[in-house]
Amino acid sequence: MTTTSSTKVVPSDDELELLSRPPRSLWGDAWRRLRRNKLAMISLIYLIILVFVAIFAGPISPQSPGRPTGMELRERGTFRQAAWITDADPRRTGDWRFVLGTDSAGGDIFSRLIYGTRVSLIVGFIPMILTLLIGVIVGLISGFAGGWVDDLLMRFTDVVFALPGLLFFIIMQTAFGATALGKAFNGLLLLFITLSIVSWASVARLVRGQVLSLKEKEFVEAARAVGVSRTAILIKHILPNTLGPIIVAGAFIVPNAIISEAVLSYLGIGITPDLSPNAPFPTSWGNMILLGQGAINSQPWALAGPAIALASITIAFVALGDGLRDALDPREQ
Amino acid sequence: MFGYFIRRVLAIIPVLVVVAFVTFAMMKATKGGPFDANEKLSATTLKALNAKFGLNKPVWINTEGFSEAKAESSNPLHWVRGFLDSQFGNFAINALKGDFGPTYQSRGSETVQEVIARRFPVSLRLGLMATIFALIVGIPLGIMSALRQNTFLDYLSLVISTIGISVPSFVVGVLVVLLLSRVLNIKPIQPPEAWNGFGRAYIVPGIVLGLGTMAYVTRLTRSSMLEVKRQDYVRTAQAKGIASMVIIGRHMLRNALIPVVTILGPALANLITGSFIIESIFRVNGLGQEFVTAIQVRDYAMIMGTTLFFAALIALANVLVDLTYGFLDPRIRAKK
Amino acid sequence: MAEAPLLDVRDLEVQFKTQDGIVQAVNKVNFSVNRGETLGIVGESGSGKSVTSLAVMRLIPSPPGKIAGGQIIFDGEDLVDFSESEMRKIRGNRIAMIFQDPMTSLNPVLRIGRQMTEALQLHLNMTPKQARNRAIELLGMVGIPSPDKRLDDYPHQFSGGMRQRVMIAMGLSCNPELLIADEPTTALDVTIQAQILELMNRLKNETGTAVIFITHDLGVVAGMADRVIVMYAGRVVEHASTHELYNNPRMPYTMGLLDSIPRLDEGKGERLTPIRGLPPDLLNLKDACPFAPRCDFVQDVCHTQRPPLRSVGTNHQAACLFDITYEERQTAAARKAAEEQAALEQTLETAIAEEAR
Repeated sequence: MTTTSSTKVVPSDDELELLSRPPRSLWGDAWRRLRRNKLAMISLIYLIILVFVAIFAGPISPQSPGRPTGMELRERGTFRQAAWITDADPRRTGDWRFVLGTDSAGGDIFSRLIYGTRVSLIVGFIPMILTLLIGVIVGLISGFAGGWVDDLLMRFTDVVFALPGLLFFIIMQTAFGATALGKAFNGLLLLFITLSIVSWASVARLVRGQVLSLKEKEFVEAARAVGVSRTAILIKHILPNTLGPIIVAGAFIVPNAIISEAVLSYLGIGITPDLSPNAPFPTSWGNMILLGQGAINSQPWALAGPAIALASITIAFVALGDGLRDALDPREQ
Repeated sequence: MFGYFIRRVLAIIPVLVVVAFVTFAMMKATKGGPFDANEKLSATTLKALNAKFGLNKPVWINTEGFSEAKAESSNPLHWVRGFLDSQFGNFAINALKGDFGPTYQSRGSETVQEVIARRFPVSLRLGLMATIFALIVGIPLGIMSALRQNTFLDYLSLVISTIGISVPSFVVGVLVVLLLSRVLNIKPIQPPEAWNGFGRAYIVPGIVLGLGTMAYVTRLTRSSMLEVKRQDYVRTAQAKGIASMVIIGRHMLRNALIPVVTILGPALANLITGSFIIESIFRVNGLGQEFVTAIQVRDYAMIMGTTLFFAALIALANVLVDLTYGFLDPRIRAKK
Repeated sequence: MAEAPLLDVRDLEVQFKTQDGIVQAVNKVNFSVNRGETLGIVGESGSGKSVTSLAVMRLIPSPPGKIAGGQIIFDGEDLVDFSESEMRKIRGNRIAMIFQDPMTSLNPVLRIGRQMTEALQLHLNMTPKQARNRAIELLGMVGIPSPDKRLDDYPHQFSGGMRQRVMIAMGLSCNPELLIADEPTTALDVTIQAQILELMNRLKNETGTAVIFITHDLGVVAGMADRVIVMYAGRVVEHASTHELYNNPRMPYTMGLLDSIPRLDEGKGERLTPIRGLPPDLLNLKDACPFAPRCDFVQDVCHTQRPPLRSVGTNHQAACLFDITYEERQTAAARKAAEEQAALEQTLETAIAEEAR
């Protein structure tokens, strides 16, 4: 529709008085749009809180997340109900020191949930960074170099893209889970590799497409005309213009990685639970769901707690990703 | 069109070769054989088992047939023969014939393809149930929220679809089981014989499995309808005086559903192959549950066979989608 | 005017709600179209000409747009009061519309035949067979070869010009009393443009349909329209017969438009002068002449008072406070050009002198 879009005022000396609205930068505009999206803002705040919870898990947790020693175990009991539930058995009646009760080994579920945030966030973020790094580099090179380099990289990318993700993760985890690599950092290192190994292909395709279209744009022609080097054009002119879609893609990689980790841990081939009392990553939510399922009748919160935690973090990331996409891509408006 | 189809089917082959190669390589990277963990087996039985499964042969190249003379080993034919007689060579040739060999769990009494043939129909039915649910709920919901953009209905469907798309199905699965058994006192787990026909037993796991796809379909339908709503040809139809319901049905839907159709194939494939967790939660005795068991006992033959089967299924689904796409959009049809 | 006009638009106002405020896209617009007559509406993008035509069809996308006031009297009845279903009986039947971009105005997934017959079946109660025959006849009329075969083709199998012919055939299918053509030639090549204009002129005379021809190109409207209205910033700023408008424009904006198109009847060496500046922001229009910032004859009063549309001759109205004629404008322009030339020469001379020293 020809309404306002075609009547934007460009300031010139005698027309400055017409300029009643302040000019907006691209990123400022995007941020303003994001801020107006309530769901995305609530999600962002929730995620920031979770980051703090993950960092300060120690001081926040009411109990130690590890397996209790003999004395502690007697106090905590096993399968103790959530605090507000009264059980016929006094040793299993809820206690506000153990808000969500305890699991089969007497672990405090609430404290373990708090520590589980660490795993979820770290397996969300590190694979995202690795994925973006590989994807952006492959995409930039492929799109900018063209020719046989492009052909070769894209054929490879196509094959990786066609691999069934979760199946591939399972094979990776099953194959290397028992090796030294699989045991490093409770299996986190292997998880980072596994979760990054397939999803970069879609990022590479995305970036390549962006580069191909940007390469033809006038500002790149102009930069080339004044003798800017190829590397400088790639880094200073093309890369910043692909950032929007890359950020959006990144925002959706995080929840996918979190879910994949949970699925793998639920299958028992993800993170290895660490029983030592001072472990930084004692357990993950997927692992807790696996254990909680066994206690479905005796202690439902052992299952409901991690399930809700996992659901809420992924909802928050997806809502934030949606908000970012709407904010960075004004065509949707 | 036919040539295009053939080209697309042929493009699946490199993917399957990579999948086979990578899976095989990774399985071999793990230490020890499949029967090593079983301490009850005597050394002789172990040896016999390994021989039976061809596990005594070299992994990649069987040099046994090579003679001492150097000249012999430089003959490329020997290398080919050596490759074909290796573990991978045997696996690849047999897989090409649709034979994935006996499963380790059954100690050779049942082959992988027999297990697939027995269990896959159950997974297929579950996947179909989930797809049907995703479509009959997702498409109308997406259309409604696009037509009533920025109303309460639109926001409600946005919330439902955001939850549906973000919460993994296994979390929904365990929560549903929890809800059914604890709050509603309904037994969520059906007996094994319930899965034989396409019956009521499939409803709950089907819905849980299809929830994510349903949410995705809703979002896709909504955004695609909104896009179509803005198109010039819709204005042309309005200018002709066509009733809005007819415009929606005749002019908008067919354009709007093209992107939805494109995700259908992968969605169905994902639902069939991704159902293994839902299957183990609801004790559905499909291929997925078999796959989970295979992971737990490290039955490599089963894992590799199922993975290849699933990969082929997904790749084939993608080809079929491209064909439907061409059928729906005359512009694409012309290009091929 | 003895007979009541076919279409009489009175004080039409259309508003759009945007995130920055309300945009007054069409502001108290008045015009009429007689039966069989062709009215040209001329203006830049954003002048409100397309929105006016969509308002007549009651096709303003709502939200964000709405008809905020005025009347659209078609054959004695006010379309603003019509219900949606009453309006549907008018659209495509008694008032038809052709759009700017023939590449996107046809549904890509439906055959041409299907798109042509639906209006015929709906408004004229034709059977599919009758409608198909009529569609073949119409396609032949707009000059599409072997129409019976082309009916089963999809839009992408037609060229741009051919598609616009299809659009015209579709527009004329139910013998409308009024045809609104919104920039029907803008998206086409110049040679195709000429063909389409010729076709429209022929069909207009054959069918006797009244036409509203919307364009930003005064050159195109010259051969088509009986009368022309010029729109600027959502208002009518000049209204005259085509002949009068071309020979005696009275609004500096119209003069500017005339000067910015090449004319064959002018002497060689005549410079094409673009109108400087940009149209105003429709978000905050002040009580001033909207053209003032771009006008060569601007005076202080132009910034404080909005000039009303006033009569400046027989059947000629213009929205300017002063009686500026085209000659004055040409003289002024010539003087300005001479000054510029002199200044340029001066600079050159100085430069040469500098060089010599």
